[in-house]
Formats: sequence, structure tokens, C-alpha cells
Amino acid sequence: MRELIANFFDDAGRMGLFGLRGFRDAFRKPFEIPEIIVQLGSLGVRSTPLIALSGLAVGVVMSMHTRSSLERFGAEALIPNVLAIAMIKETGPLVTALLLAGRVGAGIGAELGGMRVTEQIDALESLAVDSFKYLVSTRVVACMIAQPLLTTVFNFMAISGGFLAETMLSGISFELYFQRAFSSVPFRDYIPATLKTAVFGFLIAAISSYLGYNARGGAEGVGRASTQSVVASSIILIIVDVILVRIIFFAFPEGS
Amino acid sequence: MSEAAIRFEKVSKSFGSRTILKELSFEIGKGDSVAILGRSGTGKSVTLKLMIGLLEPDAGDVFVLDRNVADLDASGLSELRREMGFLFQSAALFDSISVGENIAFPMRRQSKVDESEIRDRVEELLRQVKLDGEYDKMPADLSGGMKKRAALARSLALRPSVLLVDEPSAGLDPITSEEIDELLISIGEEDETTIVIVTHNIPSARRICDEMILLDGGLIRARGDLAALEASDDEVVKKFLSSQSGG
Repeated sequence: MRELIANFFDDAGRMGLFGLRGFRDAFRKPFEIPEIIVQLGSLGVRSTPLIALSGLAVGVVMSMHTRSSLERFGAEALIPNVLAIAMIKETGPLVTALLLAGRVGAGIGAELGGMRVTEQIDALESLAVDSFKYLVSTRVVACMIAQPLLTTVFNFMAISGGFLAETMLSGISFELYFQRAFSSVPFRDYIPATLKTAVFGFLIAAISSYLGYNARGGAEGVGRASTQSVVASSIILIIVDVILVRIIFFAFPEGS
Repeated sequence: MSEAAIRFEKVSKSFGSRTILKELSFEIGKGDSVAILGRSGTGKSVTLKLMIGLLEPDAGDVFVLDRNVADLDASGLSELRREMGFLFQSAALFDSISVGENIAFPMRRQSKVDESEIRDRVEELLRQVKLDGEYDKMPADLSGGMKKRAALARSLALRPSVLLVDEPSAGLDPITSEEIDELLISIGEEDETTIVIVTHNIPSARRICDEMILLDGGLIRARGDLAALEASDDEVVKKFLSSQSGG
């Protein structure tokens, strides 16, 4: 058991250092701006339909569950407020990160793993390209930019999903619903909760890039890198989320 | 021998407890074409990767174009690599971009030439490797031989003075293999490029190269042209040559 825990921290440390090097190298010349834009499209824009649809579904379902609970206390009027607080402060950031860990983490792990076992990473090096910077730094930066934006999309779609469910059941107006929803979440609460997702983006990119970049052993190694990227990212995201929530409570006490 | 393009001085390399190269020393002259032969696992590909700095020696020095590869910093290594081309055994084309983009990639990264010049150079290279009109094809749509030719075109994009080729005929039929050999011969003759080929295939090595180096047990077992190797009394050399068909 002790060895297992030691190995976990050893691997987590390596991945963290790998990601930090990726982040640092992004600010060294030559800046890989075109590749970062390509990655933003691939990791961010192409994830938008999944995030938007998931957000809508989660919003509808959570609204229905919240209604059944609040009805007992005659507090249905609070549904928009409860939904907005739950989404923006915690559910939105974490669910978006877990969805991205599945889609983007698996993709990065498989892509870089495939490049490693087919010698494409060596080919980049032989063409005088810093493969680490070109492949890892660009993905780390793109994920850190995309994650807060996608979380905002998720939150907006979830609150909209809540409105759809609510308006069908109670006939609440658009203006009233959104006015109630946003009255409970001031901007100062939105910022730390959403910005923490940049850390989630960093973790997803760092972990999956580490596993893909260091993949070994042909197709099996690529599959392993892809699967481990999702599993490791998800576990570490949940652990880091707990730590970040404590930090946010400490740093922004008025929001807690 | 002419001035050295590549020089190994007592180079050793191990992976874990397995020693691959043991104080290996040799020189390859500028403009020469040399084949490195040997059984699987004798360190042929390792030797090639040491030349371009993809691996570092545990001991000894590797000099390429008068520069000690291990002493170079990142920018020095990049500069050296710009003067070298590497054709990988698996071709290693970037599978997310087209054949033409693969060939243009090193030019876009390393040279400040405008797009029309890059396009012209890519078309010229595609003609040279007989892939005219295949600019927009994706690597996945190419046969093994076409991939090798496209990768060869990419490795020539920056007009390297040293070309390293890892198993050019691996996985190819004899006719396609011969086509690749012809291309390599023409590159060596026209551009006076130093060519180092790692291969199991003696007919291919004989077609392309002036000289052969046979590696065995991490050391050079024999060196010379095919006639010299065939005249050798060494049992290992004889066994290696006799095991090759069509020689």
C-alpha cells in the first residue's frame, strides 16, 4: 500500500514537472502561435457541441431534481438561484473538466502516443523542431485557454436547460428566470470558480501529454496511454478540485 | 578518404545492462556513400540516431560536419540538423497533414522563403521522387513505397549535406526497393551528399554505396567494398554474406 501511494506521488510529480516545463517553454522563442491556434480549434472548438449538449441535459435534469426537493418546502421560486449557484461554483467546472478529460485527454494521449511509436516525434526532432515545445507546450496553453471558455458555455447551457424545464412546468418568464439566477452569483464568485478551470486544463494536457509523449510498445502502448490519460486526469482533477475549493474559500471568503 | 563528414571516436552505448556499441570508432568522408550492415540488434539504427543527436553516447564522441554532437546546445543541434536529413524506417510522415505539407514543413519551419518558392520546391521534390500530383494526398492513402519516397522528399527539403537512411527497403517489394535505391544513387551523385544507410539488404547496399561497414558485437567486424568483404576469411563476415540472398 505504501509503495502504491509512493508510486502515485512519484508519477504525479513527474507529470506536474512535465506540464510546468511545457507551460514555461511556451514563453520561449519561437512562439508556436499558429500551432496553439490549431490546438484551440481541435481541443476547444471541436469540444463545444459535446459541452453544450451535456450542459443543456445536466441543466434540465438538475432543474427537475431541484424542483422535487424544493417543492416540499414551497421554495420553487429559488430553483433558478440554486441551479445557478450549483452550476457556476462547482458542477459546471468539474463536469466540464471531466468531459474534457474524456474527450481531449484520450485524444492527446492517443495522438502523441501514436506519434511516438511511429517515430513522428523523432522525425520532428530530426527536422530541427523542438518536439516538446511544438507538441506539449501548445497543448498545455490551448487547454488552459479553452477550459474556462468551455466551462462558461457549459454553465450558460445548463442554466438555459434549467429555464426550459422550468418554463414548461411553471411558465416562468425568460427575464424573471435569468434575473433570479444571476442575482445569486455575483461576478466576484464567477471569476475564481471559472479561472480555477485553467488549472484543470493544465492538468488534463500535462497528464495526457506526459503519457502519450512517453508511450512505448506499439499499438498496445498507444491504447494504454489513451486509457491512462482519462483515468489519471479524472482522478487528479477530483483531488485537485477539493484543494482548489479550499484555497478559493480561504482567498475569497465572501464567496463561500 | 576525403575530409570526414562523420567521425566516431570510441563511442559506447548501452541500454540498461545491454551493451550495444563498444568503443566504436570510424570515419565517413564528405560525399561518400556508406552502408552500415549487421544482424538485428547490433546497433545499426543506434549508430544512425547518435549521428543526428536523437541518442547520446554513454562515452566517446560523435563528430558530424566538424561539430561534436554531444557538446551542442539546443540551437547548435538545430543548426546541425538543418544540414542533415533522416529517412526513417517507418517513413514517419506526419499523418495529420498532406504529403505536400509534410514536405513543405521543414522549409516553413527553418527557412525564410516565401510560399510560392516553397510550393515550387515541393513540386520539384515530388517530381524528383516520382510523386507528381500527389501534393494533397494524405499519408494514410499512400502505399509503403510512396510513403518512403514522400519521406525521402521531406528529408531532402533543406538540401542536406548528410543524409541518414534507416532500412530503405524494409517492408518493400524488390522493384519498389530498387526504385528507392535509384533515387538515393541519383541524390548521392547529383548533390554530392554524404549518405549513410543502415540496411540488412546487401544488394541494396551494393547498388547505393561505395563502402560497407559490418557491425558485430558493438564493434566493426569488417569494412570495405563488397569485393573486400567477400574476400574476407572472417567466419562472421562469411556467414553474414552467405545468409543474404541475391547478393
